[in-house]
Amino acid sequence: MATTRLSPAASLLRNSRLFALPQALTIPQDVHASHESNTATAHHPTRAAIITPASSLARGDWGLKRPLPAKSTSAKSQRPIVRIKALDTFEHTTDFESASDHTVTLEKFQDLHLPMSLPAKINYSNNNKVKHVSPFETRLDNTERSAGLDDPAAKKFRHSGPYLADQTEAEFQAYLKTVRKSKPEIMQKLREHFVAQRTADRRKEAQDSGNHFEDLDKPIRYTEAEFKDYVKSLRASPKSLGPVVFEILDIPPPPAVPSDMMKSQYYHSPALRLSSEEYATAGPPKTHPSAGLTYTRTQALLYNHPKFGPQTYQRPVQARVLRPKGHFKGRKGKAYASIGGIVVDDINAMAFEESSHGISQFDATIPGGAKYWANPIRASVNIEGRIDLTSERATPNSRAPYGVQEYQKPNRFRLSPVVGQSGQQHVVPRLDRARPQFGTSSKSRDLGTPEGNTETIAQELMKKISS
Amino acid sequence: MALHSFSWSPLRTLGSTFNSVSTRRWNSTTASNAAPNAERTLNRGYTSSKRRILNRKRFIENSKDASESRPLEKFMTREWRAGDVHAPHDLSPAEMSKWRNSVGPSTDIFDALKLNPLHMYKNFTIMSEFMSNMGRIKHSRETGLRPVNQRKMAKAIRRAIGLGLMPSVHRHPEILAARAMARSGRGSVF
Repeated sequence: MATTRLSPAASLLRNSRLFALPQALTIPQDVHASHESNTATAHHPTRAAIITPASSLARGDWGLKRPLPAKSTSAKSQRPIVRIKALDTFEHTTDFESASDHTVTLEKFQDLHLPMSLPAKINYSNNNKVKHVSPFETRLDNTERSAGLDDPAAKKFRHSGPYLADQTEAEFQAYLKTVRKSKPEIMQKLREHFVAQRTADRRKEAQDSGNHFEDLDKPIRYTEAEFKDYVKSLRASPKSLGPVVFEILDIPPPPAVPSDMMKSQYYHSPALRLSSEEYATAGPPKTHPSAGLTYTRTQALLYNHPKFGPQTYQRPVQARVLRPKGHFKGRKGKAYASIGGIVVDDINAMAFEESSHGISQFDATIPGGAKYWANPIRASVNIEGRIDLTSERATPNSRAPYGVQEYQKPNRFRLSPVVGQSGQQHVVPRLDRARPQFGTSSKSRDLGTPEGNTETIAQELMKKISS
Repeated sequence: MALHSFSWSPLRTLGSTFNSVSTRRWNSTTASNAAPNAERTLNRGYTSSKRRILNRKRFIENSKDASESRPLEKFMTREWRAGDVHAPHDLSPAEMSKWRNSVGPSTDIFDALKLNPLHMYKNFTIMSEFMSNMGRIKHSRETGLRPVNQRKMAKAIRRAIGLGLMPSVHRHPEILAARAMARSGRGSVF
């Protein structure tokens, strides 16, 4: 055992959870953002969240250099979870903050019972549901080092080389420098590639003629002149050089450009071996396609309602309207809502039907803010590490078994007598026969006399105008 | 005439249409039938006016709500993006006031593009990016350039103005024209 041979101090460090705390990730700055807040919740966590057992929490012991104050941990929350920004600072304090923004979001996300899917282009104009493909499929769940890549049908989501399409000029020049430095290794790889191609050629020839099978096992010998000719032939035709470059440098293919926009000479990229086609246009993902949010593979979950049996939809969840559609900062936009703390663009915002209040226009009178019921249907992680959640508005059918309803504005005016009476009656009122008497001035309980009403309205109007 | 018996009606506005209807009825039916008929007509008019008043009240209430909400809406300063994660704190006024302030770019654009600002002095489009509307050179806080590039860029602007390639008190006329075109909705010239 390696640990027995270590000194006590070394084994202490090796078994220390404190030393196992991973380095903080860097959140890529949004170059185009002109507004930002340094205290806003980031779209993915960058530091590990740590908890401590209740017995240690009572003493403020978090396994750090010094105990954390109870006032901002155990006295503030039932389940305090912190992230450490600095173990020790110049002021002899441990810099920490609550990590519950991300841990609670993760819990809420897992409550949606959604599996992660590979990103796919969703076309809202047609009703075709995008097929769910799990990122945990053995054929797709490969990095550049995976053993599964030997399978000819295997696809990968990560390359060792950089994505050239989103590099700036300076970054590209720096990359070129590293490539130039590693020229001997690259030439060695090219030789291997040359040998592999020769072998394939020889096998094909043997298959065609049928008489050279004994030569197949012999190692291929080639002269330096032959290799130089091969390099020359590659240089002469960009069509064959392109795939070789992409393969040897192991860089992700660039986004496809329509061929009529290109010059006649360009470096073709090899056939796509990416886990998701979306990675070809948007670029390689920064995280694993699941981002570790859930490990469920299948979407085939059925909720069995105790009273109504199996349901097509799961229990709808409430989406908070963060920004109603309409004018915002001088431009028209779609509505944004959030489901379980994750912002989604409300795909039905473009629809003409208006199902609930507060989506078309901000309404401050709704208690607790505008919300609507939604059915999340698909979750994936995009290349930036953001969660792409797709949801539908909950239909009345999916809401019915749970007895949830969209918010209705309280009607501050009396309903018409027909509707008012129908609550007490046991038969449906006939609207076509015996029309209800709305009218005679003695019976009007609704609004008082019309003159009085017009008068008050006029007075209110005048007040409003004058104020 | 029976017509005068319900001239007390508050619905004097309906008078003209009502008059013509009732006169026709007066002509076509007997006097005894005319009165209930006319009353029913009156009721119908009364109901519709009541509905109208109700609708108007509702409209007034809704517009009152909207006018109360509009001033509050401008405090929601954050521009949300799909995939953002938010905790309750992110909806607080303290956080929203942070999103109000604009920040300059964090990286040096000339370094990223491997350009020398001094060589760009003939490119008035680039130069205008680093000038205010009134022709003042922007601070490095706003441009995000490192000191060397900020000095070079300022020198390039002064050079362009000195050569007469660019006005010193407003943006280049071609940029102003393009903006005016875009504002008038006729599209950009570019």
